[in-house]
Amino acid sequence: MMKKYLTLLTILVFTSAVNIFAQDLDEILDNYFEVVGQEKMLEFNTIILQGKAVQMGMEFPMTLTQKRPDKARMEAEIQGAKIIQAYNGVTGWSIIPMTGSMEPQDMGEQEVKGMKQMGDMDGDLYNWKEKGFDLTLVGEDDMEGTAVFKLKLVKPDGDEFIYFMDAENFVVLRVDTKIMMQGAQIESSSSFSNFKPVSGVIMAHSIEQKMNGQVMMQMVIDNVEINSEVSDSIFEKPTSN
Amino acid sequence: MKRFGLILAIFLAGVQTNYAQKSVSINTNTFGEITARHIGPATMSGRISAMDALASDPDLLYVGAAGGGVWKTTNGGILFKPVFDEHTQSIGAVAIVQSHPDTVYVGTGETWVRNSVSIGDGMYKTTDGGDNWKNIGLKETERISRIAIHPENPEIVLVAALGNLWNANEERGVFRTKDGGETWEHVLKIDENTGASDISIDPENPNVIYAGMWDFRRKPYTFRSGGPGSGLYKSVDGGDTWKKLTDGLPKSTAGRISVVVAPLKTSMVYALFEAENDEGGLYRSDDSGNSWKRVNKSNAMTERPFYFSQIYADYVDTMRIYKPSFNLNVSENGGENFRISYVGGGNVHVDHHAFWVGRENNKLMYLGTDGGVYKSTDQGKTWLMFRNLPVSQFYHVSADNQIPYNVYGGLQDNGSWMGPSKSPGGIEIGDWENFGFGDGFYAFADKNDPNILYWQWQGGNYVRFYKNTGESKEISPYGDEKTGDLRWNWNSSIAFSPTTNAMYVGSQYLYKSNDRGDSWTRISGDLTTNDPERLKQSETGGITIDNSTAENNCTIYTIGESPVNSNVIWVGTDDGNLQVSQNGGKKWKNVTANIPGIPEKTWISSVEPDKFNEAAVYVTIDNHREGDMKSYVFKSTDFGKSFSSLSDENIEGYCFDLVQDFVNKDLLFLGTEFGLYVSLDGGKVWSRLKGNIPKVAIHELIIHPRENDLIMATHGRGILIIDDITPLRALSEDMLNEELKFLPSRPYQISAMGQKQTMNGDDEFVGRNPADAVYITYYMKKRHIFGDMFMEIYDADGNKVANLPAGKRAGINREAWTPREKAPKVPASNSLAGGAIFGPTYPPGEYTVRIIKGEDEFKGKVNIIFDPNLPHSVEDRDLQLKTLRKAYKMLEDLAFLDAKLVSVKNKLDELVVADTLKENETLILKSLSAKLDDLHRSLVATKMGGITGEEQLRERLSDIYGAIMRYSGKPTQSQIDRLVVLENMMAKKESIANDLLTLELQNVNSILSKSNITEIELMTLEDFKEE
Repeated sequence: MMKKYLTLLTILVFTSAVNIFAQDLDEILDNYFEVVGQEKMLEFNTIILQGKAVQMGMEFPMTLTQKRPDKARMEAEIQGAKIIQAYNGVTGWSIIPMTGSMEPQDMGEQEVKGMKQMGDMDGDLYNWKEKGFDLTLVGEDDMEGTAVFKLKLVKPDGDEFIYFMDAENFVVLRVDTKIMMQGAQIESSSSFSNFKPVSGVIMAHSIEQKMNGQVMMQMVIDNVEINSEVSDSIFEKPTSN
Repeated sequence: MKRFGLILAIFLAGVQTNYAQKSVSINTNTFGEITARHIGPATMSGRISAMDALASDPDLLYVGAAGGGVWKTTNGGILFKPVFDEHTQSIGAVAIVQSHPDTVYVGTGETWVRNSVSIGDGMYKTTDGGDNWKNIGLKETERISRIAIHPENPEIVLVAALGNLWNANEERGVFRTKDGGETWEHVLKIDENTGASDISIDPENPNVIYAGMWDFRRKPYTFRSGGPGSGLYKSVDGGDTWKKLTDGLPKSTAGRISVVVAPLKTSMVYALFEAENDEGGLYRSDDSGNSWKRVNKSNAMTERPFYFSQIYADYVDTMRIYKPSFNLNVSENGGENFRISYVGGGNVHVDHHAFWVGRENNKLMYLGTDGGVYKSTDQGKTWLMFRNLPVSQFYHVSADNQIPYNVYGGLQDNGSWMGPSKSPGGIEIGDWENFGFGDGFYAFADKNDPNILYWQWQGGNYVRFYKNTGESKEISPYGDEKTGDLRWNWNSSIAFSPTTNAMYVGSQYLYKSNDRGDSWTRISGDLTTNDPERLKQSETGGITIDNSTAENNCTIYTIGESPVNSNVIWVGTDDGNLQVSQNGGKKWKNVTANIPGIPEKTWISSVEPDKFNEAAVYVTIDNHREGDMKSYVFKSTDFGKSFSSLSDENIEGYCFDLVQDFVNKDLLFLGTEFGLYVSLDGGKVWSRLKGNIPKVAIHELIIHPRENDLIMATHGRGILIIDDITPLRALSEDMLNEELKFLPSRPYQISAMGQKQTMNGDDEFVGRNPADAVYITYYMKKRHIFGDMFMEIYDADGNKVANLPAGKRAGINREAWTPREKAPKVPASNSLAGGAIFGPTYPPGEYTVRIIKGEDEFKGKVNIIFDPNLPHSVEDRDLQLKTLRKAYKMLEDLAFLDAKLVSVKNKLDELVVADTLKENETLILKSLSAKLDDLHRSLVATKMGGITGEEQLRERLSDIYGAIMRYSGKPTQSQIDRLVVLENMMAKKESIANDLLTLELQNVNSILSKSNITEIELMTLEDFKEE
C-alpha cells in the first residue's frame, strides 16, 4: 500500500516538476523541429509557394520557389508586368520592369542576404551551430497576449534576429530583425500564422510583414508544391539578348 | 497511511489547479490592436532635462525629456527614436559609457523641480544600445541629478540622487556601484531632507570626487530651496569617505549647488552656490577644492537656482565654462565674466536644463531647453532646432466639431496651440498653429463660432481670441470690495456648460458668464479652505524667492456642470474641498468629509458629473504634492452624501482625470501619472490600455462626440488619439471567453482628404493620420495559429467583394479593409498604367463580414457611408460611378482584346521560328504576325525606358479612368465626351482585330491543318479571366 502511494507520489512530483522547471534551448529546439516536421522537410528538394501579396488594398499574385541547398526565386505580377528576384546560391539579380528596363540588375549585399535566407528552406534555426550562428534563449515572454519563448540568433556579420516561438505549440509566430535599407536601419517584423501541414511539414500559410511598426504587406499562400521539377536555370541571371 | 493520503490529496489539488481551464478576465492584452496615434506637436517641443552624446562620434546622442522619455539619434538629430517607452517617462540623467556606447545608464525623475514635475523610479541600464532596459535599483530616489562614470573602469558609477520632492525619504544622496549596477552603496548621506544635486569626478584622479548636496522641499502651496543639509563635499578615496568643503565658500544656509572639475586643468573646480545673505554665485577653486573664492555673482549666476543650477566646463579651452540658464551664458576667463553665447542668432527657447559641448570640436553644442533640443556648429552663435521630438507637455485638451476636428490645448511654457486630427500627408509641423503665449493650460474653440478661441496664461488670465482679426480680449473677472483680491491657480479653472452657452471660471469663488466672458456673475462664496498657511506665496522659494503663481493655492481647480441638469454644478479645489450646488450656485454643500480614506486638504484633480444620472459624479483626487502617490478615484450617486472608492491595485500612478463614455455608462477612461486605464464595468476593474501609449502622464481625456475618438493630453508626449472607441463599448467581461466575437465600429466614410506636396526633410516629426479604411474589429480569446483563417466581405446583395487575411492575435483585432474593387485588368505592359492601379470604391451600404476560422464561421457587419460634408448629390455620385464603370469595362475589354492578339502573335512567331512550313506559307504567318504586332503597338505603349511619354489607347484610357475615379462627384462633360471618343477608337481597333482574327487567322489555320500542325485557337473570356 505504502509503496503504491509512494510511487504515485513520485510520478505526480515528477510530472508537475517537468512543468515547473524552465525548458532549455535544446529542449525547445527539439520540440520545435518535431512539431514542424523537420525530418520530413529534409526530404524536400524543391518547394513552390503560390499565393498573393496584399498591399494597400491591392493584390498581386506571387510565387516563391526554393531549391536545395539555397536557391530562391520570387515572382510577383503587377498589371501584367512580372517582377523577378532570384538568387543562385552565389549572386542575386532582379528584373523590375517599372524602372523602365527589362535588363536584370545585380543585387546589393543586403538584398542578397535576404534572398539567401529565403533560399534556406530549413530555416536559420536548423543546424545553427554548423552555420556559424550564435543562438541563445532569451527567456519567456508575453507577445500580444500569447506566451512565447524568445530566442536570439546572431549571424557572423552581426545581423540579429529575435524569434518568438509559441510556448505551447512551438511554432515560430514572429521574427524581428533590423535591416539596413539604403543606409538607414529599419525594424522589420514578420508574423506567421495559418499553419497547416504540407506533406508532413507544418508551414505558415499567412505572413504579415511590418516595417517600423507599420504593416507593409500581407502574404497569403494558396498552394504549395513539393518536389516538382525545378531547373537550376531559373535562378541564373538571364544573359542579355 | 492517513498522512500520505493527506499529502496526496494536497498534491492532487495543486496539480488540478495547474491544469484548470484558464478563464480569461480583462487585462491589458484584451485591448489588442486598439492603439493610439501620436500627433505631436514637435514644433513647440517640450522640456528637456538631460542629454549625453558620444565624444568620439557626437552624431550619437541620447535625449532625456522631463516627461517624454528617452530619445536616441545616431545621425546627429535628423531622426530620433523613442527607446524608453515601456518605462517611466521622467528623465533626470543620462550617461553613455564612452568606451562602450551600447551601454547607457538612465536615471529617472527630473530634478528641475518646478511645481509640475513628474516622478521617476530609479536607475536603468541598457547594454544593447537602447533596445532593452533593466531597472537596476534606487527605486525610491524619485529623482536622479547626475550619473558619473569612472573614466577608466565603467563598472564604477556614482549617482547623485536628489530624492523625494514632497516628503522626507532615506534613499537620497550619493550612491556608488562597483559592479555596473548590480549592487549599490549609499556612500554619502546627510539626512532625510537632503539629496545630491550634482557630482563630478576628477578625470585625471578618479578617486577625487565632488558632490553638491541640497536640502529642499516642495508642498502644494510653497517651495523651499535651502536648508542646513546643503553643502559641497569632496572625497579623495573614490567615495568611501567625504568631507564638507568650507574655505571661501558661503557660510550662510545654502540651497542648490552644482559642481564641475575643469577637465583640462583638474586643480580648477567650479561650484555654483545658491546661498542666503547675498553669498550666492559662482565659486572657483584653483587648488582642487581646498580653498575657494567667488568669481561671479551676476544675475546669470543667481537666477532661479532650483531650475537653472548647472555649470559645465569646456574640453578644448581651459578657461571656458558654460552656464545654461534663461539663456546660454559662456565665460572665457574662468567665470569672471560671462556673456550670452548667441551672436547673430539665438532664436532658441529660453530656459535651459541640459547641455553638451564637443570634446574634440567645441564648436559643436547641443542645448536642451523648455522647448526642445537645439544644435550649434559655430560655438553657440547660431542654432538649428530638432523638429522631431514630440515631447510637448499638455495640461488640457479640447476639440471642436469641424471636419476633420481640431484639437486645442495649452503647453507648459509654450502657450496654446491648435492642430488638426488629420491632414493630407500626415499632421505636419506646419499644421499646428499657436494662438497664445506664456504657460498654456485650457484652450477651447467657441461652441458656436469657430472663429473664436479661448485661451489663458498662468494665474487667471483668460483671453477670448478672434482668429480672423488676430485680436485678443482679456476677459478675466476682477475682485471687488466684497471679494477682495481673486486668487487663481496657476492652472486656472474654466469650464463650459455641456448644454447651454454658459461659461465658468474659478478663483476661490465660482463665476459664471452667459456672454462669452464680457460680464461675470459670482455664484458662490469662497469655496476653498482659505487657510492662511497656504497663502504665503510671496515667501515661496526658500533662499531665492520665486513667486510665479506656480505655487498659488486655495483656489478652485476643477469645475463640472451636469449634462443631465444644468443646475447641478460640482467644484473641486486645490486645497481639498469638494463642493456641489443643486440650484445653479445659490447654495453650496461641502461634501469632502464624505469621501472615505483620504487625507485632509487633498487636491481634487477632476470632477466628472455623470452623463446619465444627475445625482452622480466621479472624482479623482491627487495627493502626490504631499508625497502620497496613491491612485484615488471615487464615485457618488447621491449628490455627494456618500462616496465609494473605484480604485483597484491595477492602477499605477496618481490620478489626473476621468471621462465617462456618453453611450455606455459603464465605460470609463482614467488618466494617471503612468498612462491610460480603462474600466468596462463602471470602475470595479481597471486595466491599462498600452497600445502605443507609453507610461506618460495623461492630464486630461475627452471623447469626441461625433467621431468617438478618445483624445488624450499627455504631459510629455503631445496629443494622443485612439480612433473610434465604439468597439470598447461592446466589450464586456462575459464575452471574453468567446473564441471570436465581432465588435461594432463607427461607419466608414467615403471622404476626400486631398493631397499635399511637402518635402520638408526627414528631420520633421509628422503625426500619423487614421487609416483610410473600414475597420473590421473583433475579439479573439486566443491567438490563431493552426489551420485556415481568413475573412470574406459581402455586399448587401450577397456578392463577395473582398477576401482578406485576418488578424490573428489574442485580444482585439482591427483589420483595415480598403473598400475598393480589384483594379481593372489592363493590357499587359512593362510600364505602369498609373491611373488604373486602384479599383472604384464600393458604394455605401451595409456589408457583411464572414470570418472562416478552421471549421468555424463568424459573421459581423460594417457600414459604409458618404462623407456628409461633401457637396455631391446622389445623382452626381451615381453618374460618377456609372461613368467610372464604363471606363473600367473598356479597360478590361481592351485587356482581353490585346491578350487575344498577343497570344495569337506569339504562337505565330513560334511557328515561324520552328520553320517547318514552306517559305511562302511562312511569309503569310509572318505577315499576320506583323499586322497583329502593329495593332498591339497601337493599343499599348511599348517603348522601353523610364519616361517615354508614349501614349496609346491603354494609356489614354487609364488616364481618363483615373481622373474620373479621383473625384467623388460628377465627372466633367469633357471627361464623359472623352470616353465616347475613346469608345469609338476602340470600336475601330476591334474591327481591325476582328478581320485579323477571323478571316486572316482562318487562312493561317487552314495552312496549318494541311501540314498537320495544331490550329491556333483564340483565347476565350474564361481563359483570360483565369490568367
